[in-house]
Amino acid sequence: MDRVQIVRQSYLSEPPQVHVRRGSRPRHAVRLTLVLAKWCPHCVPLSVRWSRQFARRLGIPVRILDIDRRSDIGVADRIVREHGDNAPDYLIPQVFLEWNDGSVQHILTGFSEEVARTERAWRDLFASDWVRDLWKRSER
Amino acid sequence: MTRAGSVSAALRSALRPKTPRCYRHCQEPVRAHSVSTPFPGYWSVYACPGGVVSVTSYVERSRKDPTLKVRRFLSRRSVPPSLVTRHDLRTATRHGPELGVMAERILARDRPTRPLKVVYWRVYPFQGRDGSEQRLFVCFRHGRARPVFYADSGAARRGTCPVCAAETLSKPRRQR
Repeated sequence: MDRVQIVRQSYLSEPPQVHVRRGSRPRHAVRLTLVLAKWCPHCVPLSVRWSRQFARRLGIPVRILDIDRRSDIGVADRIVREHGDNAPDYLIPQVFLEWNDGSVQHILTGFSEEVARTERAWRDLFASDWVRDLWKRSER
Repeated sequence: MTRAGSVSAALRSALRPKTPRCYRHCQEPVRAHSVSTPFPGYWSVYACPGGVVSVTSYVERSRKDPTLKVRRFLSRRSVPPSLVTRHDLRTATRHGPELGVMAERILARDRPTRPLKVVYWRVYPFQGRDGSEQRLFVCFRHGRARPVFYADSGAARRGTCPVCAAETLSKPRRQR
């Protein structure tokens, strides 16, 4: 019988139930997390739209953490502190990809220069070798 | 040969914004001014023709966070130094895929991989002691290596640099 390894993500409020069976599907993304504020033009609607599209291509859910919501702020601060670009007043949006082995990967932080630059970053991300490879692997 | 942490022209170009404008001051296009420092990274001060600073950024190819040295440098170049607070300094990591295919391939070639660490210094308009709106200005009349950051009235089209003003006062007046 294959051994089943349960991966814990202790910092998450509601950890997704992830079971990795040896010899089964290799490392794959399980969730996309977007840390945002509703008043931020880099975040809404721009990054929400691109994040949803990104997650749809991978067949994974999107988790939105609003830094102005009491229920989200603790988790948002923690994921930014542990895996993102932390500062006393950190930049938003920040986007993270969570994997089935429990690791969290920071993939994008908004560009402070201008909203158009953040949009270009999303376009470039979609056209990148890394994302194309990621999508290809997720289709297998 | 390049210095450790330096940022190539191709990467600088990948980071550059296309159409930045002076927000809520004059709406004129802002220009990126470079600053010469002994640091390996690259400075850009985005300021409008009147000298109002939209944002100042420092980019370095590193795994370490350069915020502390950026803060020290900016404090030395600001009048008063207390203009620089830790709340106004924000970091961002650029991994490569979000910078276009060319930058992605340049960064991926590195072993061990080093992303681009960016520190932004953005000072939002604030209220001065007299209740007026103050903005961050920059003066480059003292050379590329010695920008002077200072606060002045947000209503002014151009700021008055305190260092230039002090130099003018200290110069002896010509006698007729």
